[in-house]
Amino acid sequence: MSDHATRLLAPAIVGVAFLFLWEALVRAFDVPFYLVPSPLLVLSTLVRDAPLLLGSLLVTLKITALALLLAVVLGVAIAFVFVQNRVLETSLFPYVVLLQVTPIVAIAPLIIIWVKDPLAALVICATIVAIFPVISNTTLGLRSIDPGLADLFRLYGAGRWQTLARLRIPSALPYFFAGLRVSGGLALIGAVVAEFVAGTGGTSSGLAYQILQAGLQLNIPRLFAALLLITLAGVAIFLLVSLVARLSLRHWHESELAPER
Amino acid sequence: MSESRTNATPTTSRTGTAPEYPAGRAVEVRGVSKTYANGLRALEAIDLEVRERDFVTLLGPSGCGKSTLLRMIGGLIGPTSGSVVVGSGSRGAAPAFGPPGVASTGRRAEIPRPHETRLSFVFQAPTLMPWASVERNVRLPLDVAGTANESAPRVAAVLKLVGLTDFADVYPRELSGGMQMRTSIARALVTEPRLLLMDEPFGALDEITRNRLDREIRDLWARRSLTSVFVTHSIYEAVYLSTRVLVMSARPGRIVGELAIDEPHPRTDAFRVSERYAHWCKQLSEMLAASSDEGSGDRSPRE
Repeated sequence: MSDHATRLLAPAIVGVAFLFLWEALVRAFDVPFYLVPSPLLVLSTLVRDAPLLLGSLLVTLKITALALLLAVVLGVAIAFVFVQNRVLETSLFPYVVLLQVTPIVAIAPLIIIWVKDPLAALVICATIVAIFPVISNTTLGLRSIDPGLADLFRLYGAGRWQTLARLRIPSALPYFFAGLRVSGGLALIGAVVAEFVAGTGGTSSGLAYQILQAGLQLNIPRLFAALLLITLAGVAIFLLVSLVARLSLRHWHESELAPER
Repeated sequence: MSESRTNATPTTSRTGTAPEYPAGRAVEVRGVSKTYANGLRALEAIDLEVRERDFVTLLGPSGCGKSTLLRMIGGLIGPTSGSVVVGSGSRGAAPAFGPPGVASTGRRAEIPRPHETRLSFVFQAPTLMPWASVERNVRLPLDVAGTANESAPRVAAVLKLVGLTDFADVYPRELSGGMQMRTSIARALVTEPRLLLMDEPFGALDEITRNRLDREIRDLWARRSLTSVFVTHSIYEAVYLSTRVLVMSARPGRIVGELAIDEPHPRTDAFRVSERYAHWCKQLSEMLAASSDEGSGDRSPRE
């Protein structure tokens, strides 16, 4: 069996076995569906509630995508500024860390009060959660240039912008993508958490809101179905970012090279 | 045969700021010392002159400051005192040349820039951009200078020269060490430099590849009216390639001897196994041994 097939098949077998065991245990012990629904029930709920849940999924995905986009644009811009100016970096970096370590649940209510537009408020919350890996990884990457190549660029009289475009940015790409992979997941988590906070105010209809509602109504199968969608969305974001990274780095970076045969 | 164990510039007149430099002088280093911030004296009282068409080799043990001296000629670092003149541009101690990093600010008018003297540098490592193909790596100096539109024939010519025409689209990681070094040499030659500085370029290669590349450097130097300053710790390489060898000793780095390798060019492979070759090697190795004795005397705790 080829490597590739093993890599797909092995985890699939584990997953299917787990689902079978779950279904069998629920049936054997006659567990009520409002405690633990069986996988089949979750699936049929997902199909039945599809219009509602997919609409909510779209809302959550929209917040996630906007937040990730904002995190990338702002994060990369901040990293550029930090790399060009040490004084700015030393003065501001502690506050970036502060932003990172403050739990979003604690500041989300404030942001939701301050920002009128509910969508904008949620996007800002998710951006705050997602931006740190982009800033710190891109800054690190922009600084991690081969000293020999830096000498070479000086020798040929490359200016600041030439060095940025031809040396620093390509050197930073692998670091940036490593950060983006983390940020993609964080943007989704940030969006869901912000929805939870906002949901109590009834201003949102994202997946987190559906989970809250389902929990209150003890509609546990729907809760599981919504949870499943969030998980799948997270995996999809990760795969998408990985694909972009692979397409960008496949020619040269060790992390994306095909193994030697 | 001319051998002197004193400093290497017997004929320079020290009149200070001469606006025009005598034709035929490629590099002039006068009274240069380099002391690092941690107090380490890397170079002391270096005087050195390289004439056009010279192939000067700096030979010495590791840590003798030969790379530092070469980087100073290349303008990558500045001297603590003394002056370095390359072609028509002068670089003295501060403030004519700022600390490393300041030179990359893009204010072209203020700082005499190495690239304006048509100078190229080959580093110890190939120093290639891993994200760019061989062709794009070689083209880099032209891209940076903004002359990319006329670069294609020049890139093709140097790739042919180093035998990499078929590898133009290949990424550096797919090349052997020797081919990576050739790419690096092609990149150095693409600007058609008058002065080629090489810092132990083949130190990391196996002996067979190294000998072959030495031969290619010899041919290039002979065909292209190049002036070269070459750094190595290999006596054999020094004798084979050089018109003049400067022997350096460590801590602090000084030039302790000079040997003109008075042999015709181009040098053949037969020369490398000749008695005369062995004779030059023996002489250089004696000079190196003498200098290291001196060096250990300097460091003696009984002093």
